[in-house]
Amino acid sequence: MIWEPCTSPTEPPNTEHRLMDWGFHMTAVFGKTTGAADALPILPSLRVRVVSNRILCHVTRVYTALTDFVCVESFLSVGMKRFHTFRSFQVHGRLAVHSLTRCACLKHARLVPRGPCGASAHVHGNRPATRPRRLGPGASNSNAAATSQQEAISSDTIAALVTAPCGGAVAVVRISGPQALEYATHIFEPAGTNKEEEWTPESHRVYFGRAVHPTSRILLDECLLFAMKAPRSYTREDVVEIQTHGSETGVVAARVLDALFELGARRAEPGEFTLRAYVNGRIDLMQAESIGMLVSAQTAEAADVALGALVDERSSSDSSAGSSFAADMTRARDACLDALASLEASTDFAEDDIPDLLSDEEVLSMIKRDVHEPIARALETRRAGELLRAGARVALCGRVNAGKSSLLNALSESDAAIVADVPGTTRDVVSAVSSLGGVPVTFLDTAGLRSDSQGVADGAQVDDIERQGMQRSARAAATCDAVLFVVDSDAGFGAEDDVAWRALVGGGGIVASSTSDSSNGDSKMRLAVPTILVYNKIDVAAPSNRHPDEASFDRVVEVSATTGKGLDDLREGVRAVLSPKATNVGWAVSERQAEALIRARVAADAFLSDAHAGVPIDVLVPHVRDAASALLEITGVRRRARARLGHHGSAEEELVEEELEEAVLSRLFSTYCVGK
Amino acid sequence: MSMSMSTSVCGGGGRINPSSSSSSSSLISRSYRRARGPCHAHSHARHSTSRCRLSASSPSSVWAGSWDEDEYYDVVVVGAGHAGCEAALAAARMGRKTLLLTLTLDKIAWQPCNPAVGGPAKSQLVHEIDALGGEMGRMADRTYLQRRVLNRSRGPAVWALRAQTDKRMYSDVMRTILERTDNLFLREGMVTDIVTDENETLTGVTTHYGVTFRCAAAVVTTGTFGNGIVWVGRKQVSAGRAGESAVSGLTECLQRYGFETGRLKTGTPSRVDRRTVDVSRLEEQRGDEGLPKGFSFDPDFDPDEFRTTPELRSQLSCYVTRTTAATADLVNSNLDETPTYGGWCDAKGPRYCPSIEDKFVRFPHRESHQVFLEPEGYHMPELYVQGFSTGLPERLQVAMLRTLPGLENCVMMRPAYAVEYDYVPCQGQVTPTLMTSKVRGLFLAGQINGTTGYEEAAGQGLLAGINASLYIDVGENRIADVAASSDSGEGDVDAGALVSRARSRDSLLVLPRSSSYLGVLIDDLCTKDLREPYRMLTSRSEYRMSLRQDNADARLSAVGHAVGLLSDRRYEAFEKKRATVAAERKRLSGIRIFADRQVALAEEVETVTKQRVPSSTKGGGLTLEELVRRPGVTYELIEKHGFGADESLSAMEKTSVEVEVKYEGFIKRESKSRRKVAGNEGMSIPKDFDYLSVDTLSMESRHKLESIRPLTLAQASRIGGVSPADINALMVRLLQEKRNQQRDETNRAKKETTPV
Repeated sequence: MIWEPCTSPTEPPNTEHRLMDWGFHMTAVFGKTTGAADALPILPSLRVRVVSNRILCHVTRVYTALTDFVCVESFLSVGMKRFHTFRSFQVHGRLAVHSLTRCACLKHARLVPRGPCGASAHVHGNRPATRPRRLGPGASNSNAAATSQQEAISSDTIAALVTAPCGGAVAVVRISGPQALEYATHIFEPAGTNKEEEWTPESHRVYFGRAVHPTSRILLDECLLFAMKAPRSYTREDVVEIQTHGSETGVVAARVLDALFELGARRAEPGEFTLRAYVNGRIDLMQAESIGMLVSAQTAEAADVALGALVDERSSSDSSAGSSFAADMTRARDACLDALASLEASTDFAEDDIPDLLSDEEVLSMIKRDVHEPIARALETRRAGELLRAGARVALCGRVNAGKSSLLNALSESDAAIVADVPGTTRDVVSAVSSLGGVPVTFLDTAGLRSDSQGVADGAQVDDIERQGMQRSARAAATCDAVLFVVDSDAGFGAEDDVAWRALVGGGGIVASSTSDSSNGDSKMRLAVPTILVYNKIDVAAPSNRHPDEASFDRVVEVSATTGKGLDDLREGVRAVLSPKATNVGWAVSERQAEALIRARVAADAFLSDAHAGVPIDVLVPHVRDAASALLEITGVRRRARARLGHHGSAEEELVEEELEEAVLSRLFSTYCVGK
Repeated sequence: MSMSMSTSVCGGGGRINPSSSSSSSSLISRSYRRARGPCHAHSHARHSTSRCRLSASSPSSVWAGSWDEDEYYDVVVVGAGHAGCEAALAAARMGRKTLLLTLTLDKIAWQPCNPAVGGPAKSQLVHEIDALGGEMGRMADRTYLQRRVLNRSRGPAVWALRAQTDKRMYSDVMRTILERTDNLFLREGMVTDIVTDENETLTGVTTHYGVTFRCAAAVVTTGTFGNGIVWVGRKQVSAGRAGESAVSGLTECLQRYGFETGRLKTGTPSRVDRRTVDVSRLEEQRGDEGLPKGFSFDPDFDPDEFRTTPELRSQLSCYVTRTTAATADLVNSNLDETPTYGGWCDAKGPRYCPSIEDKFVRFPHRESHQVFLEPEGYHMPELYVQGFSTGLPERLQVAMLRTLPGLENCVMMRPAYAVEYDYVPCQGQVTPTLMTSKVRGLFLAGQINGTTGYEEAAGQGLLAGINASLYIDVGENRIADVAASSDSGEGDVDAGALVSRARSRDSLLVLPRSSSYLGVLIDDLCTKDLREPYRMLTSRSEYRMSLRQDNADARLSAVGHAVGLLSDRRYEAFEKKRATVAAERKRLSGIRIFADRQVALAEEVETVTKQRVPSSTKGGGLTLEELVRRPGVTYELIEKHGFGADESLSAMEKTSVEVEVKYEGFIKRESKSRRKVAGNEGMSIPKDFDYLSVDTLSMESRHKLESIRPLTLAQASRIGGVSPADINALMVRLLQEKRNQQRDETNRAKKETTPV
């Protein structure tokens, strides 16, 4: 199969020129994997390969942000000339098919069967030699172009149940696409109208009526219909939402949906409405990601953060200046492009010919103020954002019978773990989820750590099951975000605790085999993850015989799992060690954004340090370019509806689509009057 | 390289067989084909082999006699602009019998727009042309009436020399140079057709009057003349330049050969009579006096050869004036009279050359725009009104000029006009050797390739001239693959390989992007889709740190020498300079400076750099080289304190030392970031590579690659519409083929060693 990218919103489709102008091309190959095609096993897979680095980012981000499949083989990156990066990744198995259909609406690419399709090569044919020709492949007929474009963008209409599949009082079916309104008229009869009458819903008005089967006219449900005509809708396409009665099995909504499918609608893929919103310029990449975050937010705070990034840059910059990530990053990108335009203008055109150039100091302070600092700020939110999104895992470790299970139950306010005085009661890892200041924390109760010989004395032999359990606990401790090392304050930090501690620090997966070397030597042992020393059972006795080196723990807390005393301190402690830089900016960057941000920061750092060292500023241009291209990856393309609706978007909007070099030149020529 | 026939050719011009004077190119090529055998009697080895093969298949030689009387040249250059002159000079100097055909011998190397050479990026180009043995640098040095170094406040990487030249002198001197050159023949003629054999190999060109010049290679440099239309306001006239007739027929001929062509537009502002301008009220812009060197690297070159009077040795000033509110009013109230805003012409001019109406429309907040008045010659009253190009009708142009301070009573001598012309998009049609991919032996250079600017044209002309000359020697089947290997990689230039190949003369010359702006220019042309006339900008090169005007000789002298354009004397001068610079750098790195021993120097360095120089008690101090590397420390500064070289260095050598030292680190960084580029992209693609059989390529890319036939993987990757995936697939196939080849070779070697 070949991806043939269609055309930009304002251009007539399917000319060779547009293809080049877009600078991207996608190919999907079934039955082949990358690399030596003959060497690897043949798997059904999809390769998406895109010329422009930026476009690629969009593709991959949209994939990973809005859909649920996994990139099995992630980016194979081959650096190319300048800012072109060729990358490819693969999605194996049946997901490939899904990805293909998703690609179909992405970037207006069309799926066409493999075959000769380079036929349109000679667009400059023999022509009257004296007739003036336009320079570029301009839109000769913008109306016609817009119409045909409309079809090309979303040739199909999608529908899906957008509420929970079963249960609930109301179920909402959403239809999006060019035929949405038409389908609605087929299956919906508004109350109080004559059946013979032609009816089309007005935009943004709620109708009450009956959903009927389109052909048999069997009543399906009484429902509400709400139409949002393009572009004033979530996807910027015509959208119709039908509210039916909910039911335990979701059968009512399902019948409405089936009726729509009979009419020709296609079931929307997961995330496809948002994908269309992105493709149609309704939201940008960051917002798309934010929606992903919002939808999957587990706590209210996570939802707030997601919304913070989602808020449109314009509205947010009015209310709370500089608080929106989108606004910050857009400003940083623009600052880089402005700096580049000025620097390039001053080198490519004699300096005294161009008025209004930025001075070197202005460039410096602009990079510092608008690029370096916002990036640093954004990166600080990264950890918090990750915690909010993915939550944290905290393992309770310690010797047997230290009260870990009761502590787990206390922390999670549940009775997830079995509590008994018998050492080694907990044999597998038990988890319970709790929210700590908005961070969803999974506490893991682990099997107590003890040596094989230890059990003999207590009369409870370590059996195979328990040994395996202990191995699991060590593994859990090694992979979690924080560790609570629990000590029985009645017994104090004894030899057994030390064995357990050593087993943990010793690298996980080890069960200490001997008690002989108890407390000598290296007391400076630490875990790689934040660790809290918890003295449990303070209701029985105050901690005696404390750990010899409490300073090697991030915190020391005394609690009673039984009475609940000190539990709040413990919660606060966990929260504090998980996000040392608590931020209240209201948004957080994702890992993908962070990766690009780090590249931008490295470039900005290099720029500033070199500039302070007195390096001539033209030598520093490559740093600014690096920063700009990294930031372009984050902000992606924002195509406003204006361009799509056939209005001529401003030059700038169209130019964002182009590669960095062209973007810089365009800015240069639009900012500076280079007349000479 | 000696040609068997070099002189006395002008004998039988125009005497051609009546049947062949038919305007039908097919008839011509057919009859020529029959005549092929005998007519090459005096030609070359390569030709004779192909001739033998072909004459065996063509039984008849009826027409032979008539064709023998035609004139034969090795290289015919069509057009005597900046590209054409360089091409003709290069070919003739490389020993080729060369014919330069032009519409009029009175407008040779004419500067129809701004009479200036150099400027940012363009100065680098001119230096490169000079280092390769071209003429433009020396021409500008001989005829400048003012010159300045631009971008002084920036780093040396972007320093640029710009010379205003005397337009008439430039043309006259160039004509003299052409006339002085051996093997070079000038003639007026309008070429409207090319002649090829059945292999689409060029065998001659035909003029409008029906004369056919047989040749092995032709360089077409027709500039803006292809169906040129000159516009002033709504009025238009068919012309290549104001007052000169356009050429129709050649574009159509190229189209018959399957070339796609397009239209581009550019323009030139009006000229005013200097005697009617009150310059006393204007800001004067003087030239830089006492510059150490001009464009040419040749230390023995006499730039004043043609400056016969003292007056011709002084510099003239330019003047700066500004638009006023009256100008803005006039423009804004007459926007509908302009082609763009009036809506009768939708072709926009190039962005870097906005018309005055564009400036007012796009920068409405700016009250005033600078306008420069530049003299066009020592003995011409015309002033070029820089920054004031316009599409307005002539009557308004005068009115508009008179709104400028100092020009209230000015008299306009030439109106501003726009010119629209045919060009051949290079992408897929012209290879980086500048030979077309469709007609072997046909080279295109200059504005016909979609560029703008004299420097861009001259650079292409030079390369086309070199390659047209090399083409005659190079076996046809070797052209593509050898050329490919010379673009080995995106990395640093393999100067040695480039030079040795150039010297062996068995391949065409391809300049890698890393070698020069000229390389960048041609690579961009061949791989990118142009939207406007291409102007060289420093930002177009990813090698800006290393492509400087000061090191153009180090980058390209060896190549120029190897192809035979740079004389032994000049090459020796270059080698001497290189040795001197190297020795001086060695010396600088050997002398250590301590704050307590060389007090005066150390103190000044500390004040300049605000960084301390260590004293002898603390470590090893700093070498002179390390001092010079510091920003702000110049070679002059250490010289002032008596640490200069024993033997005095020339100014040029001092600059080289200083810049080399200062830029060493940056260049390393630049090349490091370049080296990130995957190594396989430099892989060359065999010229007969069968793209259509690579089923892992998309069908579209197969067709595209098949038509463009890139020389390397890197080039393939820059072709618009060829996806990275395709590049990947192509690379895999190339590697496989390579492996197979190696295996075959080992097998063969084994077989040979195995006793029978």
